[in-house]
Amino acid sequence: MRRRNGWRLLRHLGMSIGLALATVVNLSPLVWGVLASVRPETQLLTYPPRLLDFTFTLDNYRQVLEGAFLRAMANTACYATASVLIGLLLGTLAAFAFCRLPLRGGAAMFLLVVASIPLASGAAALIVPNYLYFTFLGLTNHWFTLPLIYISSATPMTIWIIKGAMEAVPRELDEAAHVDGASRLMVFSRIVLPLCLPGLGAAGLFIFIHAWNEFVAGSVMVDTESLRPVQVMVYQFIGFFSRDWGALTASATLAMAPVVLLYGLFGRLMISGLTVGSVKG
Amino acid sequence: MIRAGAAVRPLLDRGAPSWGPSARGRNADGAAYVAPAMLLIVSCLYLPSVYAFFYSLFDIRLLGTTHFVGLANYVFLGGDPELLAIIGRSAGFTACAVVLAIATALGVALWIHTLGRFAAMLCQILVVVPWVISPIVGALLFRWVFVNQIGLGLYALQRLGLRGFDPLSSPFSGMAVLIAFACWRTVGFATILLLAGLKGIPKDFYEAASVDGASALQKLWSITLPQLRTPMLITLVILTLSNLNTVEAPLVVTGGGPNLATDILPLDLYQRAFAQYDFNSAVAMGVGMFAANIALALIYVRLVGRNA
Repeated sequence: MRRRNGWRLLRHLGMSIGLALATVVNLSPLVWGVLASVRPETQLLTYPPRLLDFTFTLDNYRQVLEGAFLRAMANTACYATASVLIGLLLGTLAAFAFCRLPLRGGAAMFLLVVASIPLASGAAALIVPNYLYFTFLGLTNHWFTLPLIYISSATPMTIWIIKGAMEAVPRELDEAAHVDGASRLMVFSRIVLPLCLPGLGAAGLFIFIHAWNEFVAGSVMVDTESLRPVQVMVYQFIGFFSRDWGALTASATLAMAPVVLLYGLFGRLMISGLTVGSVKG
Repeated sequence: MIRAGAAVRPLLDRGAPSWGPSARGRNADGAAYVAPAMLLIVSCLYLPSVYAFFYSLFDIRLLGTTHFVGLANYVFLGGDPELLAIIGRSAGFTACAVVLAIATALGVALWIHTLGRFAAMLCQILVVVPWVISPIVGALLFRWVFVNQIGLGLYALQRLGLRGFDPLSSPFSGMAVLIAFACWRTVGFATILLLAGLKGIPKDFYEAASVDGASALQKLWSITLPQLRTPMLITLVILTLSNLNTVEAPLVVTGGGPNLATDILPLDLYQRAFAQYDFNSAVAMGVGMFAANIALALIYVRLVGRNA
């Protein structure tokens, strides 16, 4: 009995140490970055580095927000929100058809969707073709350019996540509702949709984070400053502020804040969404 | 009209409700639901590369094509003395980053798997943070902590006795930093993929092994690892794709330096096209990389089908 208790204590100790270590290694860049963003320039250079012993200031943020940074944040917020709304609409419709409606060539089409999931993540290979194609069609440098790209690259994953959630809804429910006189639209909106809300949430989060974090397309598909997304702004700051790490870390903190916030609130949902696309069939 | 049980049930429509208008009408209906999404996927993910392939057969000047040159762009790219070195670097970078990340992730996943529900979820959430934040921000913060001369990472190294170490002073350490960044970014994601695979292994296997008197190591070797084969391969494909296509990592963490030591394919392609405006060779390179991505995507589809 005593040995068992000792073993449990040891396991708890090991767990805490492991947890602490993972947190430190994994999160140190984030924590150290945020801490750097709220200290004055002079205290960034102190040696040895001081963790918490510094004067708190928001000067770096003031410096960052003086320029077009806020505008870039607003742009990205609009791009991401539009992508989520339209992406969810398209994804839900397609997923519903794939798992509930008879569809000729459905298997082949779904295979195409699955193949598109890894393909859509190949940002570098897609960028030059996309740039030439969008330029040819005159679709670069518009307000809709980036949402269009973000939606199309997030849609395959969206379909998969939502289809997975819909398949978990028992079909007997649909049929029972139909026997009771519900139309197909009612079955869809009153029965299937409410029951797969977590899946919709996971898909929505996925699209939002995808759109918020995207850099490569954002850096070449739009040119006008008023259309610039936030990640491109952060990148341009690297050249502009060069070694002013206070301003740089402040811009990085602002650029990751919405994602970290959402992730903190819905992390669990996000993880289920991330795994669905690659492990469940 | 209700025709319960009389529906034809093709592959993906198992158990589809058998109500609705005639079969033909229902087909059209399903097609209307998927059409917008499929149209978008085909026209924005596949057509650009088809277009780029035709484009690559022409001579490109100021983003206009002049005349048909056949495969001359590919021949020109192939004749680039740097090309082989770039491909070699990319392969080395990707292989190291992927293998290191999966090996680490396997350890972390096995450890998380032993935890209680709450602790396991907390660990998963913490471990995957670097994958969730944007590559640009992640790379910037990574540089601030581990590459920068006044950063915490070099301070820790100094405390360990390694003075005056500059990661960007030698090609080897520059590449090591890039690989470290790629690992940091992907290890959490790999962990949750492998963890999901671990959860799928039936418990009876372990119970049967225990009855037979197998040690923990034997269970790991003869049950866990073989059962994790497909999840590990899927993770391998996803991480390979991710690392082969990361522009942000080399762009921000090392800038391709020192002395082109970390100038890998995605960065080279990006700068060829958008810094040097050499679209002739960039298009050829892009089409080549797209072909490689297609190959990886096909492997992925097969693996996922096997796992379903």
